[in-house]
Amino acid sequence: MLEIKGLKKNFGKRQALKDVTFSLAAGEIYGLLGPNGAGKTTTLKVLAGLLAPDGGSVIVEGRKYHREDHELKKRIAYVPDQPFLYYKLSGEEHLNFFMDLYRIPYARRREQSDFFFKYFEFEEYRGELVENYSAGTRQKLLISQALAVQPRLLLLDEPLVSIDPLVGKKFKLYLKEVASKGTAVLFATHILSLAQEVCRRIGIIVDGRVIVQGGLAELMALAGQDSLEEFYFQTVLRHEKPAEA
Amino acid sequence: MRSLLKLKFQQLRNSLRRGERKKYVLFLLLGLFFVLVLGFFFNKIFGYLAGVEEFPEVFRLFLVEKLLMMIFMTLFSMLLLSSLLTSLDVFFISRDLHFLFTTPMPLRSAFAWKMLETGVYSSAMVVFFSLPVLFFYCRWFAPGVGQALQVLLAFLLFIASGVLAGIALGMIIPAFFSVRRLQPVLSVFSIILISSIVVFLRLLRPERFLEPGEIDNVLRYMGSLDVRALYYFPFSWLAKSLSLVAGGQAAAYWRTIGLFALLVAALLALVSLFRRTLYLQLFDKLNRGGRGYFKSSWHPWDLANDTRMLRRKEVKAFLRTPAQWSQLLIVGALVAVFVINMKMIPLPHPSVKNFVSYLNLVMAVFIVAGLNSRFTFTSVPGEGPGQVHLFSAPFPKAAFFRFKLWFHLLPQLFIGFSLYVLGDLALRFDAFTRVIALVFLAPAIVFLTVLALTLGIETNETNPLSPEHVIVSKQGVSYMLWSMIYVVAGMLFLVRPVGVYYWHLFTRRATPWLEIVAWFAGFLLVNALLIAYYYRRGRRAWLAREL
Repeated sequence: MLEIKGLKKNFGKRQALKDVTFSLAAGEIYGLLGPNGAGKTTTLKVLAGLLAPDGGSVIVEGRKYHREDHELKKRIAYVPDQPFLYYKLSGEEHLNFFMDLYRIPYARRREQSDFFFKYFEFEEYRGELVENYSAGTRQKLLISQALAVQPRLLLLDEPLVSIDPLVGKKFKLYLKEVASKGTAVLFATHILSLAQEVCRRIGIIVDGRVIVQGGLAELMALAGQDSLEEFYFQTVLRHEKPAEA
Repeated sequence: MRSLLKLKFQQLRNSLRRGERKKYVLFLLLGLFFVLVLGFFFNKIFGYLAGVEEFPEVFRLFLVEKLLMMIFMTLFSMLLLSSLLTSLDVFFISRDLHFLFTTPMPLRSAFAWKMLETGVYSSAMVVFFSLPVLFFYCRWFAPGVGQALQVLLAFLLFIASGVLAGIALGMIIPAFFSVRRLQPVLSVFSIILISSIVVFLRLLRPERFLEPGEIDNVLRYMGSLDVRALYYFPFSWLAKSLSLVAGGQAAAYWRTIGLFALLVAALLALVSLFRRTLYLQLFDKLNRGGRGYFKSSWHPWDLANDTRMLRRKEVKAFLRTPAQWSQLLIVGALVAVFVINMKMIPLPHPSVKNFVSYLNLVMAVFIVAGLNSRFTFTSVPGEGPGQVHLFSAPFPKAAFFRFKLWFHLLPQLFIGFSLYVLGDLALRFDAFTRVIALVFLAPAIVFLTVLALTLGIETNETNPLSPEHVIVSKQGVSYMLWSMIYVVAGMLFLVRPVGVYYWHLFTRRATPWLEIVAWFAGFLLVNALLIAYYYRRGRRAWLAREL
């Protein structure tokens, strides 16, 4: 589904991504973990078309991907790490606008809108302007619009920020359901317990490079660790202090 | 309070260091220009009044007092409205409130700081425009240092009363109305007030005051105005105080000042009471949010059109932002002044109206340039964080650029040509002048729109605080400068063909049409090159944009 090889991205003199390589199969939920500033958000932004890479290649469904490839972009949806929204639209209008951009057939749009407002429990805010939403409600809207377009590749950057535990649980269940139907999910998060619960494979990115990746259970067994948290700390610390490891 | 004051100075220092100096210099220069114009005007009026020998001094002072009362009445309305709007923002909506209330700073200190902020922001403009009035009044009627200080004291109390009255209203109103809904409504109201003042001032025909006889007629008329109810207002007391200073009536002056001081003290006590009893409750109420409903429309036939959803989004966002559409009211006022100018310009000879037609063209293009600065230039930065969706969605970025261009160009063309047509209807220009309008207006409007859009994209702004914040950026100032240079250069370029045509017309010689057409063609070619260059530059910048 998704294959990234040697992805590079520079911001001036700073190399945000030095050599990011990993792959993702259809129906897989892949957790991209790493410390702050490691390059998780930058990787997702390149895939979402917000940034142009300075090197490497991205292959989506067997086709070389670049940010002006709108046919491929119809199959990709992105949930950013901050609630970037049009504040003068209501939630329903925003969802409608987003589905319009993806050319979602009319027959499905109303149905999707009704479903997600109810499912994520923010029906009463449907007609309210986004500028009056709380942070959590804005996040629900962002998640809803990404799921509503039924993408083949879903890019999530800390999607559960400000979301209450009940809606969070619903989101995880829905995520597993869409993955079971063949959608590939790339999930960047700091919350290791969430990654452990939801992801089948993980990759740990540090200083612009994926230093370890693989099946979650296999990696932990190999390292002799019971929890992802211990495995993560061990891996990241070993990378930062190679001589001591 | 000291920490907050230090913070403000550091913010100002940082913004000056980070290259925003040009913005402040530009503002200062524009402000100085207005002050000089006002100064010239008031110097003329006060000088006449001080020098006219037919009137006894008492009557002269009386007339001056009436004049000052009208001026300060206008300024007081502006001050009150400005203070009310600013206090609603500063006390209830401002982003730093949540931060301030979570610190160990006592509420009284935070509130006092907010009062100071409101006072400075709301009174700055009024103080600036009062400077020439007070300066030239002192020059002609109160030249001593002591007198000047007395004038200053009265003025400061006037400002304090206006600011405190606005703050007091700003404390009460949220008890009855939602601040988030009210603030935009009041902003619109203030725009209507400003627009009305602009039209009213034009209707007063201030150019008449250059004639001594006219000043005489107007002042006699003003002397007959006597509305008792106005005597109870601070603007009346200020005018009275200034008049008493000029008349040397110290006891009466200090009585008026005492009244002023009592008013200020009472307002201060009222505001303090509101702070203790109302403020926190109203702040909580505000944070509970609003109850609006905006229904989305579902049109299956929209799917075929690439940009219809963008058009709907633009129109909805525009209509729901009073700070945006209310600017059109000022444009309406400018258009009204424009039409009045057309009607009132004296024509010593019918041929002069053709010269007026070129002024008409220049003014139309300047208005369009202003609209472009306010709307087209801010259009892409104004998309704000929502740009993320345009970039990540399967929507061609080039189509978005084209959409933005057409969305702003068509109304600008309509407005530009309408302004020209209004002038034509008033003065009936000749056929050649109409051809000039076509040759000049159309490419000028297209170029200015493309330039504004391109420079707006080049600001790289993705989350502006407000459109004004974007307009005063480096690219915004560039746009203003380049648009002015373009208009002047364009007019100079067309002087030759226009001059050639009318010279041959008046000297009854054969018109060299080939030469005139060649000049027009040259003008159109240069414009085509400029438009193509900026279009490509803007498109390239947009396509290369990263978020």
